[in-house]
Order: sequence, then structure tokens, then C-alpha cells
Amino acid sequence: MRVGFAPGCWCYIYGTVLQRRVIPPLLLLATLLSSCVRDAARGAARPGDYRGDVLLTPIAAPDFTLPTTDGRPYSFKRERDGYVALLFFGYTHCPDVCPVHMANLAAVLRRLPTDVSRRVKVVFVTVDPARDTPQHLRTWLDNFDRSFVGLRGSLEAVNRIQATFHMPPAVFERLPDGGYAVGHGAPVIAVVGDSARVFYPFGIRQEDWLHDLPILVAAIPRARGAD
Amino acid sequence: MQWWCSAQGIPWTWAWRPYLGVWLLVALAAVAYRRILRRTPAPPHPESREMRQWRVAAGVAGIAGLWLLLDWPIGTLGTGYLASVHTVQFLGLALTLPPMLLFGLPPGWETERGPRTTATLTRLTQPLTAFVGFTVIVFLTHLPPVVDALMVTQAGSFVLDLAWLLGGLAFWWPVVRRWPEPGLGPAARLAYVLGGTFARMGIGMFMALAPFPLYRVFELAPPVYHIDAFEDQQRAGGLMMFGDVLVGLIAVAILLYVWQREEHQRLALEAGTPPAIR
Repeated sequence: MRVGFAPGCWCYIYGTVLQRRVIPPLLLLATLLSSCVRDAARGAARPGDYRGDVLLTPIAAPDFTLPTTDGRPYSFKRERDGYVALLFFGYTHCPDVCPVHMANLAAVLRRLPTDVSRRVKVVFVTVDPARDTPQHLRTWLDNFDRSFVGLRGSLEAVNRIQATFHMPPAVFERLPDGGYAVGHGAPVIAVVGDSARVFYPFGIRQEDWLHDLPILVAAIPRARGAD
Repeated sequence: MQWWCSAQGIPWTWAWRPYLGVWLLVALAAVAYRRILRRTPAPPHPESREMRQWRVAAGVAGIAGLWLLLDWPIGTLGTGYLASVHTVQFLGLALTLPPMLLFGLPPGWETERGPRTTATLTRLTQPLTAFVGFTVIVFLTHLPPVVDALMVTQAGSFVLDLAWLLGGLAFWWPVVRRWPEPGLGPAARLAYVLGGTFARMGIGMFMALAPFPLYRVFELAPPVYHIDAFEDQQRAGGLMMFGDVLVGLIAVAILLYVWQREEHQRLALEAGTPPAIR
């Protein structure tokens, strides 16, 4: 069946062309697009429906105090009260995981409604205190977000804190150029109230943070919530 | 050593990285182009000689552009780090270089092919097939699952680059080569180019307006100078829309000029006076 103009005209369209060359790719495209739309639609947030790794048994968050980049003692228990604390152990010379986590968190916090973003604290604990001086740590964090908290303590103290979250201690590896890299746990730990509930491994995306952070904020114990 | 750029997840440095596959492709293209030019003698007509120089310049620039876009650093940055640089690669490989490469071929090159090549060329460059095929390629190669799956392997990345280049060659063929006869008329060529720009517009808009980074490969790549993946994607979307429209407008301007010149020559022939040689 011919659906078009006379032969020789530039816009003639044959039924066979439509059937064989146009419709199958369009169907394939429609299928792929519908799968994308379906993926996007699952973004409707439900309480407890986290994109991160939910712990079957929440870990009791430790009470530790470490100095911030300006030398002020920072009590993790007191400072997280009424907030979602996103705790991360990393180092500023990290080439991949640490800057990606920090960049994604900063980007997400800029886009979340303020009633959600102001209830979230990002706490970065360095596992490389030798190189991460307070000034260097502050400068590095400011590249992402000035509100990010930088904590620096002795390696032994930091490793003890990591152990309470069942995370391995930092491991130092010599590099060919004479420097060193630090092996460390890659998850961001979400602490709400007195417990760590959800771990966010490397690979978590901004879309996932946008989905989970409002749920985590909603889960802050109301009696202690600070508005 | 890699033979083609792909996302490796290693931190970006300005240390040079060689890609043998890119060099091989560019060398093959250069050798093939040189053979084509040597087999086609220069026409004696002065206008044609000047035109031939333009054609050779376009062909050489097209091959040089291939090298520039596929090799380090643009190829490396565009494949594993920044969506905006990836968009520059797309604008070059699919929209800018193909018309230059096609224009660089001597007139009548396609008529000297064998019957099978001629038949394949005729089928693939039929306007409707080329338009739909290229649009589908562009849409598919911008779907996040497809991009994330392809870009992490050298073979996948190679397929993506080649799909853009070959799709672009097919798309621009009816506009630049106008073979087989009668081909698209002047107004149809304008509609074809603008229609393509319009059909692709949604992709750039989708990228610019998405509420989060769409592509895992760029979002989780080691950051380059603290460039945020989300803002980079917005830049990429804007660049795609602006670049596509710009290419479309330049093409329309050239097509209008050619149309006007051909019309002038036709009228002069009808009036019995020889057209002025410029």
C-alpha cells in the first residue's frame, strides 16, 4: 500500500518502508523510553523505602568528640541531635570516592527544600590526619559546601570510631611516586536519632539522595527535633 | 594501553594517553581520501578547480576534526569525565564533520562504485531512512542505560562514536551529495535539515531540565577541577540545543545561498545567456 505522493517526489512514503524501517525502531525507542519513565516514577517516596542499604539491626551511634577544622571540640552526640548526620570517613588526597561523595551531597543539598537541607549535617572525618591539616581539610571541604563539618583526630581514635560502625581500619599503601594512598570504608553512614540506620555505598546517585534525605529527615525523633 | 577511549574511573590528569585505534581510523581515512583524490583528475574548468580546493580543504579538515575529537584529551574527557565535552564530541562527530567529509568527496564519486555499494548507498541514504535512522540513533545513544553500558568499555565506546559518525554521514548525504537523482528539492532540503534539528531538540532539553544527573558514568567519575556533575549536565544540554540550532542555521544559510545561485543559473540558461562564472 502506498501512502504518499507520486514516484519521484521527495516525500513519498511506501507502506513497506513504514513497516520495516520506521515502526520497529520507533517501537524499540518507545519501549526504552517507557522503562526510563517507569524508573523515574518509582521515585515516589514512602517511609522506610530507602535507596541505600538498610541495616537489619541499626547500629547504636557512638558518642565521640573530635576537634573541628577551627579547633572547636565537636560532640557527635550533641551536634547530631535533631538532625540527620551523614558521617563519612575519608581523606582529601582521595582521587575518586571521597570527592564524588562530597560533590554529590553538596549538589543535592543545594537543590533540596531548605526545610529538609537545614536538617542535614555532613560530617567528614579524616583518616589521614598527617596530611589533612585543619586548614587543608577546611579548604578542601569548602570546595563542596561551607557547611560541611571536618573532624580530625588521631588515627587510633578514628579507627576506634570506625570499628563501632563495623568498618575496617584505614590501610596505608605506598605509591610508586613516593606518596601513599589510604584504603578506607566507602559508605556514607546516615545517623538518625541514636542509631545508624542506612549505609550509602559508593555508587549511590544524586537521584537516590534526593529520594532518601526527605525520608531520613522525616524519621528524626520528633521530641528531639529542632525546627 | 587502551585502543579506544572509555570510562576507566581513574582520576583525571593532563598526562597524555595514546589510543592506537583512533590513530588507525584516522590514518585509514586519510589514506582512503588521498586515494580517492588521486583517482579523480582535477577538472579543467577554473570554477571547478576552485571548488575542488574547497572540497579538499573540507575533506582534510573533516579528517583532522575526527582526530581532534576522538583522541586525547577531548576523547578522554568526553568519554569518562564530562558530559559537556561528550556533547562537543556529538556535535562534531554527528553534525559537523559528516557534511564536511561528504563535501570533500569529488563530484560523481558515488557513481563510480560497484553495483552492491551503489545499492547499499541508495538504500541507506534514502531521505526518509536516513532521517529516521539517524534520529533513532541519536535518541538511543543518549538514553542513560545505553550510555552507561557502552561508555565503560572500549568496544562500546567505539560503537557509540561510529554510530554517530555513520548516522551523521547517512543523515547529511541527501543534503550534501544529492544522489541518486532527483534527490531532495531545495525547499525539501531546508525542511529536512530543520526537521532534524527540531526532532533532536528534545534530547538537549531533557538533559538541561532533568532534576538530577542522568548518566552514572559522568556522575560517579572522578571529578575534574570540582566541576559538579549536575551543572555539567545542564551545560551539556544547553550546548546540545544551542550547537544543534547553530549547525542547522549555518546549513540553512548555505542551502539558501546554493538555491539562489542555482536558480540564477537556471534563469540565465532559460534566457539564453551563459551564467556568470564566479
